[in-house]
Amino acid sequence: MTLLRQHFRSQRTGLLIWLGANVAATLMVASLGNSVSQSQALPKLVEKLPANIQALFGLAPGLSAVDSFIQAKLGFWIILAFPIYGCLLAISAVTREVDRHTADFLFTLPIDRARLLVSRWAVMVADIAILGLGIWVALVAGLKGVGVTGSWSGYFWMIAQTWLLGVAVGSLALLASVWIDDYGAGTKYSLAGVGALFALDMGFRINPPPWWALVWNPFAHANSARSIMENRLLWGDAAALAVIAALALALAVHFFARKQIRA
Amino acid sequence: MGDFAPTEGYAESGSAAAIALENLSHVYRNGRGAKNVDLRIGRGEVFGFLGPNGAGKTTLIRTLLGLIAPTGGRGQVLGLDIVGQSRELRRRVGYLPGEASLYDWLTGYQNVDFALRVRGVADRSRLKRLAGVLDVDLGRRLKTLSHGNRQKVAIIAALAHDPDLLILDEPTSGLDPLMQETFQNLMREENSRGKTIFLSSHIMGEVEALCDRVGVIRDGRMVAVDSVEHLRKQRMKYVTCEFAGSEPVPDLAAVAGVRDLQVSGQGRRFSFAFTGSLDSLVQSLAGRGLSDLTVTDPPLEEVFRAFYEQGGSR
Repeated sequence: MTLLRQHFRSQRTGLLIWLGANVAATLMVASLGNSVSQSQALPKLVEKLPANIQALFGLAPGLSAVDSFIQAKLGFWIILAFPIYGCLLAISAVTREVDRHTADFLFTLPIDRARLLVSRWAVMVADIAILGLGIWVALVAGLKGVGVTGSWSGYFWMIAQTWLLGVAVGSLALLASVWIDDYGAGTKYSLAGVGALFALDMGFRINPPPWWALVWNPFAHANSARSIMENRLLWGDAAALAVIAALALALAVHFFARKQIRA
Repeated sequence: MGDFAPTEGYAESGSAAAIALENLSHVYRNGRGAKNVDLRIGRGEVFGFLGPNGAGKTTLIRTLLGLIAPTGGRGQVLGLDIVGQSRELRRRVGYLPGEASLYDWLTGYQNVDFALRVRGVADRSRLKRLAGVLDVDLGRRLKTLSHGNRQKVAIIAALAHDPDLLILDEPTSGLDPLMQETFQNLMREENSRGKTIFLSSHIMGEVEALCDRVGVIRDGRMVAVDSVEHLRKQRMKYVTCEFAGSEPVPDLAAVAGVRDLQVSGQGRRFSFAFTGSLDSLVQSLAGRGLSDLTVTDPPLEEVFRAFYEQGGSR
């Protein structure tokens, strides 16, 4: 519990900044809800778009005007934001300690390395969840504030699915960070990795490859439009993301136990 | 590392010693590191660990503490295997790293409190007493403290859980002379309570003042382990001699073991450092009107310099 509390406190300022910025952006998006709900331009536009363009932006015909707008603006944003935040938290877990030389203090305490890594992973999971909940509360409050009724539970599942995406990508970054001792380089590499996987997924949405080429990419398992439309967690994709996260964490724990903490 | 065939007597001597290393190595890919180190340090001993930068001091310390794994040999600290029982070992050891970096966004108290919580220590009275002895304000965030005050907090973090063994790497770097003295008194107090101290330092005065024995490491290998007094006597002498009369003086520059030769008194008074056999030196000086001869032990600093300039051997 000491390890968990200490790391959560160290990430508190970052969480508040991310939360503040995202809640503000969500409230701005929600404030346009009334205008969007009175116009049917967006659903009509979505229906007119070719199927591959709809797929590219994750749009789905059949959603209400407000749901289409929320999905296109917020859903698209958090699919990038949660993995980026997850990566930053993952790189802070070990790489930052080595880079700042606090690793010598930390690792000469009687700490079990597996527990340390799992506690830091748990903080990452919790922080992305708090960010997601904050966005959902702001979205519901913002839309209610302008007198618009949206798919509240659909939005919740969209955010939950994307939370799992953030956890999976963050877990992969945690695994990679075991071999990276430079915080600046680690941040750059992990963000480049997020960008590459995201771009690859965009390409695959236009020209879908066989399933086995898709399944390993976490971004292939988040579809905000489907989450809202089906109003549930997409269980198959959620399971795939959970497996990716669990596998990455297990490997990170395995290799971290053997990591040489050099001066 | 756990599948060594035990050497006869190793386990017994290891449990009796505070530190027992047998052929312990951690060699990096570039060939540097610590190589085949054999060392026994008794419980309650204050041991000085000397060597220039890059000699392998920090590598050996990091290997003892499980930060890096040995590439060969084995070791026990407080009777615990440095690989298989590293966590329990770290519970009983206080370590002060050469570049002590605590969490600078926490206060001194929060840093030490975190370490004590992880160690499962509830009592904070020792922490407060140490803060008083070292005269440091633990209520301030580390980033607002001077280098010396940060070092004091790091010393408190290493001592607060009352460890059986203290491993200190350059402990007084950044401390003013008065505080260095306070630190030395603190170490004497700890030692009088039966604590073992492993002190790596470049400050020879500190090592001479505190240590019973010293080990000298060069290019990753222990080249000498001896008492400070014996090392000084054995390794080198300071010699001053003067010749009366008109007989030609001996060619001291040609005598094996003579270095740093200085001549004064119209060419008849000599002072030099000597690393050879005193018997042969006296024979070289005899029969030339020798009127005065003084032989003294050098300070440890000179002994240390001799190891690195001339190459010491065990």
